[in-house]
Amino acid sequence: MKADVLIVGGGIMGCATAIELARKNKSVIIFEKDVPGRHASGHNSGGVRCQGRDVREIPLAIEARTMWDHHPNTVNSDCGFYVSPRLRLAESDADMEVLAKREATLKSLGYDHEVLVDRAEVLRLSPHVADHVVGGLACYTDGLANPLLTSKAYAATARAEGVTILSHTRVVEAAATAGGFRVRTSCGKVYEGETLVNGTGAWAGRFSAMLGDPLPVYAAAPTMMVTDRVPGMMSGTSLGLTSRLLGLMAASNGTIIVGGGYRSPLDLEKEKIWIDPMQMTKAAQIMTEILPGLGQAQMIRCWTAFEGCIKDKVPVVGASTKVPGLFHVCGFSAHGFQLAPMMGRVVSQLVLGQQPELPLDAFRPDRFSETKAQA
Amino acid sequence: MNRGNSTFTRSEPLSGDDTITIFFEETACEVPAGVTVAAALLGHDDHHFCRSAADQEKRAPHCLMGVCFECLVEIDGVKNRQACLEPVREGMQVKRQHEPVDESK
Amino acid sequence: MKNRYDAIIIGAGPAGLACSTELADKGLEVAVLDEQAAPGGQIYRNISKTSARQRAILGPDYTAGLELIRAFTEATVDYLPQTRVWQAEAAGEVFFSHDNRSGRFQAPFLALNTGAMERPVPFPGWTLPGVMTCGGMSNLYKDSTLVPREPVVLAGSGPLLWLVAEHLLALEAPIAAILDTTPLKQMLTAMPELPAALRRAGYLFKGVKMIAAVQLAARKAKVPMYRQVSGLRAEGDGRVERVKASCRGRELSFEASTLLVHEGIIPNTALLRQVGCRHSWNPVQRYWHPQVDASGKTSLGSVYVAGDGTFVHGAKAAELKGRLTGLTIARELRRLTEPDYRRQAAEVQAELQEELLPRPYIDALYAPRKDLFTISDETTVCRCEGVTAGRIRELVEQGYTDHNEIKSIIRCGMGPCQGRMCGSAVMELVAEGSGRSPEETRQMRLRPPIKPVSLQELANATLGEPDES
Repeated sequence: MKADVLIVGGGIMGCATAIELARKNKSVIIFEKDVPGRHASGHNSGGVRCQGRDVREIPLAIEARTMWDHHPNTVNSDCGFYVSPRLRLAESDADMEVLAKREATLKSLGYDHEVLVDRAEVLRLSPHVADHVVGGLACYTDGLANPLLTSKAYAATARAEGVTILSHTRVVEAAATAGGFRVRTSCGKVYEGETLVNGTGAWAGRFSAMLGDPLPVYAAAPTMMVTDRVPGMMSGTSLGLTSRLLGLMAASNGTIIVGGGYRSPLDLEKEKIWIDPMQMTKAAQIMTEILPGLGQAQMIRCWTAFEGCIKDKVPVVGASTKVPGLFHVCGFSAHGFQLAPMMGRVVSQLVLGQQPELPLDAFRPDRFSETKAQA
Repeated sequence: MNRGNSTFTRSEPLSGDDTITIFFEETACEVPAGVTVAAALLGHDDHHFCRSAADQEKRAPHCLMGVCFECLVEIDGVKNRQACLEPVREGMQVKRQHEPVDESK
Repeated sequence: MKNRYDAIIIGAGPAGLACSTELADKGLEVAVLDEQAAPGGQIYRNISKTSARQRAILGPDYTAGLELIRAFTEATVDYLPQTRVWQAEAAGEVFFSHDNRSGRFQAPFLALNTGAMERPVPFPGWTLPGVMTCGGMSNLYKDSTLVPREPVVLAGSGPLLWLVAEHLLALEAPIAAILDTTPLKQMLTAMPELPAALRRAGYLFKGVKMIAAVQLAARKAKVPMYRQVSGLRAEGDGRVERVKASCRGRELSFEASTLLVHEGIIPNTALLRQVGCRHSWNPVQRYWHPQVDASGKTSLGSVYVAGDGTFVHGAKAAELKGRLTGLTIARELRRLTEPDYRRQAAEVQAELQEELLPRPYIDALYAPRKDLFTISDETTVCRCEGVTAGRIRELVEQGYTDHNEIKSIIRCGMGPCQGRMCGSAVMELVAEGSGRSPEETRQMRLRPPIKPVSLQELANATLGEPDES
């Protein structure tokens, strides 16, 4: 079977790219070893945030943010999105300095989405935070979405646009040919396409190596937690900290989703993750310090997902310099969810040979060899 | 001392030494020593134990073996206690668990 | 506190008690963690404190537990009652909450004897206060001699329904009606299993005699009894006031303030799913159960499951399975020579085989009937989150067949019970809507904590490296 574009990975990046390409009349096949949204795309913490991003990602994040408002039109679902301002708390004067510096840096680059606020404004946004909090940095337009609903909506839209999604189909061999690429699947079938897109998330390191263009993407297992309903506790504002790990998201049903960089040990080969209870106790300790009224809230469950990470914490988005016709969109390092709609747009532009509407230089796949050379 | 108005009754009489006093919604109740909070309350006033967190419906014990989480009460200021697993103690303060809502609804 | 053991036993029901006593007898260091305040599990609940009259009412199947409890009490074990285990790992770790703190124990072997629970079956009005399970009623009586003093209806299928009816009749509780929902034709489908069961006719006749005696007593007490009942529902304003049902085309209605339901017993597998041992589907009784060998060893090797947490076989079998698991772990830890193990295990095995003879017949006779999960759209399925059958059907129609995904989207199974009460029903609704057998769909996944833990308990955790003492 042949198609213009073969996409490996049925996560939100692959599906977003497929939708844009199908809308430009390209034939697309997606290979998904499980089902779309089984891993990080469908099981992240659901944060849709511009706040705290690496400055290199900000232009893409700002553009992506507007796309989240248009999901009912573009993917026929609101994806469970709603606005929950994100407030990064300063727990000391030193924290406050860090936040002030961040605001100044952003201002100098022309961004105004993160605003330094005093304790009075912190209390207006989040009345139950502890006495020691001195201020914060607020991003009023950030929000939350339902990741599974989102990735399913993207997959359904891709199908509706004519994309073939092959679930439970693992790519066991992939190689460049004279006319493009040939891919063999776990179902024993062979597919050919002119271009190949690598959207394999946690498996991107391995998949890129198979194609002779290895990327330093490693798998991690971010560990999320959710509490019972504690209505009123968050007042609709999501919280982060400046110098400690913690992200508390104010879900619309009154529960709190806990994220923010907790990791569990994993075995990618066996696809097994052991949830580390120490992460839960650490999170609980910090949570009760930040919101002293939370002691009686209950941790209902944890969940994790395989995520593709890179040391410098920005993704790889661009054409392979080693294998012509191969495009990478991976290594989002546990913060790709918000960017996904925009990734679909820029990667499709790359695939179509167009100039991407925003610069992607910072995400070049060959940036790692350069740093090595410099070192 | 409130002896309550329950749809359940003890099938064996209790001698005076075997009772203790707990407080349910701030009313003193004489209950058998050694029973679970669920049994104590059902023998006293089984109207409802809690309201469901999702839609504030009245709920009372269903499985009485720790599975259903329909008997959640506040004990001595601590919420989310499973009444069917917790033994009574002298002077224990037990309250129905619900978000502050208008009881007349 | 000591936190390293030779084996950690979860659950102090018949399996856990027998298992831990066996291990302690062999000189092994054992910790027993149980949710309840006293040992005995559900079947022998409160057994050390029940009165002579309670014991007379509950009969010899209940007092059989006394000997087990005596041996357990005399054994040298670290027993932690009122302890909620919220995570277990195959590497030999158990995490729990006890006395408002979280803790961690380690041992090379775990025996997770989590027991069974009554099969939760949604019907209109099942969330009303006053709707309880028959097992729940039994626990209430064992705990505190409570019986209904206002009219009570018993409805469902299975031996426990009749056992509870027997107790309530003996206690002269005002029974408004007994509604047996067992379809007549299951007598026929169960027939092929009867010969094996008759090899242990005494057991079977005991059951038949018990049910016949209850029916006779019910007739004497003028308690109406109906067979082949369907369409059960409870009505009332804020609690049960009426129970309605249909019986072969006839509409029934009873004034009652308590409705006791029972639709069979299934293994309580929450912890077993979380620890990650392999499960199999039982197509007759329609439940998932962990795969175990004769000694209770799961696919994880270091993790054992004895008792009704594997297959529902009853208290006596659970005790025997617990002993076998105990013997096997003792052999693994070299406290029992191979010949001694073989001899002792063979004795227990023989007794267990005998005990299990009637089970296939009983399982087929009281298999969940075909229309058990014909749930009307308006009926609440997920009690915690108030999710109706209609809402779940909508998702199944959209192509969702994975409870894990259904949960992520409509929160069905996301409340404090974490899917224990809605799991069976969601599985059947998926089967109904997708035409796929539960075997073909992805099993519900449980992630720690398998029971809610307060942040305070977690923050007070002492999970640090176990001491080496």
